[in-house]
Amino acid sequence: MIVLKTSDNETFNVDREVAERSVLIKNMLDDIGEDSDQAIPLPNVNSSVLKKVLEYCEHHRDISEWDQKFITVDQEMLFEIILAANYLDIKSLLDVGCKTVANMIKGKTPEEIRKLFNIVNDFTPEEEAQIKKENEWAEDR
Amino acid sequence: MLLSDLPNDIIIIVLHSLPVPDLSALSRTSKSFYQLVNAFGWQIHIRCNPRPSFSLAQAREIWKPRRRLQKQQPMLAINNIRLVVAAGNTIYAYAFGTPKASGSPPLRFEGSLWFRSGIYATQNQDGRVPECSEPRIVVHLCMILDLTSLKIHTLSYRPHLD
Repeated sequence: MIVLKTSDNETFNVDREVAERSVLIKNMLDDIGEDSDQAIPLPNVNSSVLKKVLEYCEHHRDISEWDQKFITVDQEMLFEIILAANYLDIKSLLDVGCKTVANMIKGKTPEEIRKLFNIVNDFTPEEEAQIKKENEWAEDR
Repeated sequence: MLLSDLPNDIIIIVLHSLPVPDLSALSRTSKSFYQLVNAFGWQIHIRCNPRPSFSLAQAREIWKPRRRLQKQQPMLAINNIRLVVAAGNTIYAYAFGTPKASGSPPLRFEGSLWFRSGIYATQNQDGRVPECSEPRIVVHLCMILDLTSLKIHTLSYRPHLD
C-alpha cells in the first residue's frame, strides 16, 4: 500500500498497482525508492476528485467481462495478440494478454505449468530438488 | 508458438501479476524461467508490495531480492518483560530492564533460536552457541510462544540414530 495526500490534506491508502495507473504517481514512486513510506503529495487534486479517480483505477485493475471474452482464444492466438499489442504499443491490450497468461499460471504446480505451456524440464533431478528446497518458504505462504 | 518463445520483456510483464507462490512454481519449471524469476520476478514483487523498514534498510542492501522477500515480514510479540521478534527462520528475544532514575529502560538481547532444514540451535547473548544447545537434528519441531510470559517452548522429535 502507498499513501496519497490530496490538496485538502486528506490521505488515501491505495494499492500500488492501482495508483501506478497514473504515470505521474508511478514516476514519483520510482524517485522516492521502494523503502520509503512517505506520502505522495498531489497538490492539484482534492479528496473528492481523487476518490472518483481511484474508483476508476480500481475498476480497471481487473480484466473486464468483455476483455475476458475477447481474450478467450487458443494459446497460439493469445501469444500472437500479445506480440502484436507489444509491437503496436497498445498498453491496455498488452496488459489484458499478460494478465490472462498470469491467470493461467496461478494456483498451478510446476508440473501443471509445464504441461499447460509445453515447457521442457531441463533441470537435473538434483537441481530440481535444490530449487524446491530453496523455494520452500515461498510455497508455505 | 510457445510461452517460452515470447520475448523476455513480455514475460517480465506477466511476472508483475504473479504472487509469491506462483513465482516460485514458475521458477521451478525450467532453467530459463528460473533465471527470469530470480533476475526480475522477486524484485518486481518487492517493488509492487513495499514494506518500509528502518531496521532492515542496511541488511536489504546486501540481501538478494529472493532473500529479502523471505525475510521481510518479521512478527513481533511484546509484554512488559520482553520483546520477541520472529524474522525468517530465527526467533530473537530481548528483555526490558528497569531504568536508573529517569533514564530510558535498558533492552537486553537474551538469545535467539533458529531452525533450518531439520536442524535447530540456540544462541546466548554473547552470540555463542551454548554447549547444551549444539545444533540438533530434529524431524519435527514445534515452537510454542506463551503470550503471557513470552517464553518460547520447543517440542521436538529426534530421529533415533544408531
